[in-house]
Amino acid sequence: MWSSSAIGVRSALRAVVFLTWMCVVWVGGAWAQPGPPAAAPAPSDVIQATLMVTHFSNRDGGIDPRARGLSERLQRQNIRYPSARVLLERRAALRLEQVETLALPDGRSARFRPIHVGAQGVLMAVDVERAVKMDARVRRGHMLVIDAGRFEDGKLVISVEPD
Amino acid sequence: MSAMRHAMDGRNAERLHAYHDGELSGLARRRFERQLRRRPELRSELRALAALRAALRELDAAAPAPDLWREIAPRLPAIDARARQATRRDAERLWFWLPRPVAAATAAAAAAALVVAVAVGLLWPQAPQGGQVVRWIDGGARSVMVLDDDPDTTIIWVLDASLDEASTGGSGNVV
Repeated sequence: MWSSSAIGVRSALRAVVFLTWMCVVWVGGAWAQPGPPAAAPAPSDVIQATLMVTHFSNRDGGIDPRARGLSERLQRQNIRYPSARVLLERRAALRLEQVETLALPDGRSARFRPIHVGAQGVLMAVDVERAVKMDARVRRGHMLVIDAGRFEDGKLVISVEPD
Repeated sequence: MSAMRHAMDGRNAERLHAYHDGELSGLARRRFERQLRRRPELRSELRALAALRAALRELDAAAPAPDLWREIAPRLPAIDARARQATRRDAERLWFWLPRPVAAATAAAAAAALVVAVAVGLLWPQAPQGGQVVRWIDGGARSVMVLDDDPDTTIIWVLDASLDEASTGGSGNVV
């Protein structure tokens, strides 16, 4: 009995040491990964973003070169249209608590109101008329794609990408 | 006929043993007692069973119980001494396996790792990943999918069944 308990203590100590070294290796790996840049931009109340309204349809029209990236992102989710045409592309400064409005070709509008702007991205309220409302936190370089509903023989798709 | 009798005997044998052991209760016991009154062969089996059990009890009582403790007790001190020696050897082996500088370094590394992990967690807030992009969503009466498998893209997609409604502006209460 004594011997087995000693073996148990020894095994437990070995496990503790092993886990400790695993933690050290893990933390070291995390440390070595690229973290936030040292000279990260100071948080402000404004963030630049690219807003785009694209009409995806089943007509044979090809993919607009400006919509190619968006089309590929949709295809990765098995959403495929043979035609994509950019109806509107705008660089906008999304400012805290100020509403940025996009006019959609069917008379509706999409509104974006930043609630919080940080170094990592923006938290904003999005309101696509007669389609969807949401609060979304979009980091820089991340693209938020919103299905804005049917238009003609296809769909209107809004994309927002802070940079 | 013979097969039926064997089947009855099998069922009754089980009840007989249960009755003998006092395991039948209530209605089952009364039913079996009624059968006992009607069937002399069951009564004779019960008597035989009782005699057999009594004989076994006598046999058990006659057999001398081995006094294991008397044999084991003198050996215990020697066993304890061997166990203590083994523990000391194990401890020595452990320190051989884990020298003190390594143990100290391990403890220090663990403390440092803990501090670093806490600092990393506190000072480096993680950027939102795909699954954290949409905090709240309201599609009205529509079914909305949030596709966030792609780490660089979050897609809000309205299910096709309700798109006609969206295009005609059917639910104006959404916005």
